[in-house]
Amino acid sequence: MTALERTAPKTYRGFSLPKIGVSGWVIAGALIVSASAMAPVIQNSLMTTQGRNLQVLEGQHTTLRIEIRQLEAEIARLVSVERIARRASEIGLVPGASTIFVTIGEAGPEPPKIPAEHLLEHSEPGSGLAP
Amino acid sequence: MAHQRAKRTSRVWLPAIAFTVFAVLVLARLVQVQILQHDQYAEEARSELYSSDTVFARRGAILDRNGFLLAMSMDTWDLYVASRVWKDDKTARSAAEAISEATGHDATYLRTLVKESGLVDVLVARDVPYDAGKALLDANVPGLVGLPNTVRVHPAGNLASSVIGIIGADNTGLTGIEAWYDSELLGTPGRVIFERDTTGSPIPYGETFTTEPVPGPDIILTIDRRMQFTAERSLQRAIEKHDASSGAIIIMDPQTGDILALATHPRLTFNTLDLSDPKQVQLLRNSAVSDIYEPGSVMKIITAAAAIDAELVTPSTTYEDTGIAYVFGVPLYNWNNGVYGEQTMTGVLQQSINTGAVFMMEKLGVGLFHQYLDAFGFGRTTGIDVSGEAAGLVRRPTDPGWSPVDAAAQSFGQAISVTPIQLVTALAATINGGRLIEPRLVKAMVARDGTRDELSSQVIGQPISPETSAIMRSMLGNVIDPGWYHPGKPHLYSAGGKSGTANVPINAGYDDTQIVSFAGFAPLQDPRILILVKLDENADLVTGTEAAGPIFAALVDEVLGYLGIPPDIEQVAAR
Repeated sequence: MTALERTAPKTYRGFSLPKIGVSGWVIAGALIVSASAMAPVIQNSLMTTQGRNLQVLEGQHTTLRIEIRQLEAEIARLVSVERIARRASEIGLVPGASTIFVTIGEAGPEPPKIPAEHLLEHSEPGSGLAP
Repeated sequence: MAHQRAKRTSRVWLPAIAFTVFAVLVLARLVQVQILQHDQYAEEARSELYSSDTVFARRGAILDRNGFLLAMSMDTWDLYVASRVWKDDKTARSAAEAISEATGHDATYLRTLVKESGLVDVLVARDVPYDAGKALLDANVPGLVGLPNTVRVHPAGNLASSVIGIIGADNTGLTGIEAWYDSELLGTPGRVIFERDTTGSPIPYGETFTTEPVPGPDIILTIDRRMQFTAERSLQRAIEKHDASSGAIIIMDPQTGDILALATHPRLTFNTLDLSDPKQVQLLRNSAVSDIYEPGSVMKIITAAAAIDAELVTPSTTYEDTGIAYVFGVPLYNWNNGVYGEQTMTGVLQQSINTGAVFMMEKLGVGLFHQYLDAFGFGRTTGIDVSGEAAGLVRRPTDPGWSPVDAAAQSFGQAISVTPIQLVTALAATINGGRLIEPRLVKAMVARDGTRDELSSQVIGQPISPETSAIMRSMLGNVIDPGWYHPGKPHLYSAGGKSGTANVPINAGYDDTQIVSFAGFAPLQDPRILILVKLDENADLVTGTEAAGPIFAALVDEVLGYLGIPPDIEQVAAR
């Protein structure tokens, strides 16, 4: 019974942290500080990504511009008089013996487009210089 | 225990003084570096940190009058190899193989070139096509660096090559339009300044300052590619038929001075041009503007125009041809030693009578005759916009060894040397109302923003009146249509013109070889084209009328038909 008579041990009270009042303002402040710290990093990262994208797009622009130029040169080569004359000769065409002129009252067809880069960009459709 | 007091000594000041002196020196050096020589060191630091490159602007294109491309610049790469990267044999071997596959250069040759050059960056391939070069650069071949460049291409082949001219390896024009308009075509080069690492390579995402290059404007020629092709083909055939050594054909709009076609033979070929061959170097010269020759009887047109304008003769003025004209006792004969009896001035042109030309010159007198030659622009450049133009030679009374016979000979095209372009310019004035117009090869420039700058024709003189010009058209029409067969008469159009046949002058007289020509225009009353056909040293020795006349006639029919001008010879038009 001795044991039963023993008094219950004293409750250990321990060290308790002082209560701090955590308000919404403090959380907001912490978030702002964190965001401010992260902002330059994020901004820098975004700029780098955008810069990279821009560089890629510029590269594509250059490549396309060069391809356009290559196509222009190819068109010019294909429509060259020398090539057309050679091709006509290869398929057995010969110059006409005589030219027949017919006077008609209607307006003629629109002149063909000029296959020059700047004129394609800046002239109205169908505009061209009279030969 | 008593402390022993340290003995006083002055040595302690020595390190203090030494440190002070050192500090002063450091300070002085800092002042020198940071303040006095600040700019110099800042510049050195910048040059260490930054590197720059010139970015050449794209050279403007050259187009014909209807906008068809004749010359343009295509993007290429110049490939360099950083030689220190290739110090490792294995790296060098694999890199050289990769470059060899793309460029066709021998891999061993590339390795030797880089090894023996002694340069930091070695140029291994120039003007590599853009696609091939980009593929190589994207493959990160060790040590390979590509610099953008351009190469001139000619989509229409060698058409008008002597007019267009060539450019050098540094993209500057050397001959022709390329040289004359070089500063315009070249544009404004740009510049890139970038941060670099210790090897000199740009630092990715480092600071970069770029001045964009401004491409040169495109140049629109007065040349029509169809007419140019027709002229070149006609000339080629004529050279073969008459076994001539060379020749030229010029087609001009006499109302504006526009050169519609300018063909020369031989001509340079862009792809096979070898400047180490002296014969090919000769081809860089445009013979139609650079080479002089005695025009022969074509010059009688000028003599007649002068005499009529001075109101000393009319087309119907007559004189008696005896086959010989004596000038200061020197006999001058007709071209075929013919005797034509009484002749009008129109007859003089029709029969090409030398004594008749001398008759008109004597009416004018040497002074007035030379005034007219000057007014027509002989003896000076026409101002055509292409490099290498010659002024021609006109012997004058002030020249050493002058003789009045010289003036007489000049009246029928000897003792005077002209360029084909000079003659065409003068002849245009005789039929276009008397206006001497500066010939031109460029009619407009188009900037990259589409702004078009039209270049206008320049009237530079009025050697004869419009009335004289009308008379000349009629007289020259009678030359081609004399009432009998004339090889220079077109089938479909009225025309006027005159032939010329002149022996080639040598030191002590004249050679047996000859230069034949035919100059004419059509239609007769409203000339749209003026054509000069010239053949040099034709081995068959036929005259200008026989050799060059038919070429002129065929060209008139073809070119005016191409221009959409209805025929004005009734019986043919009606068929």
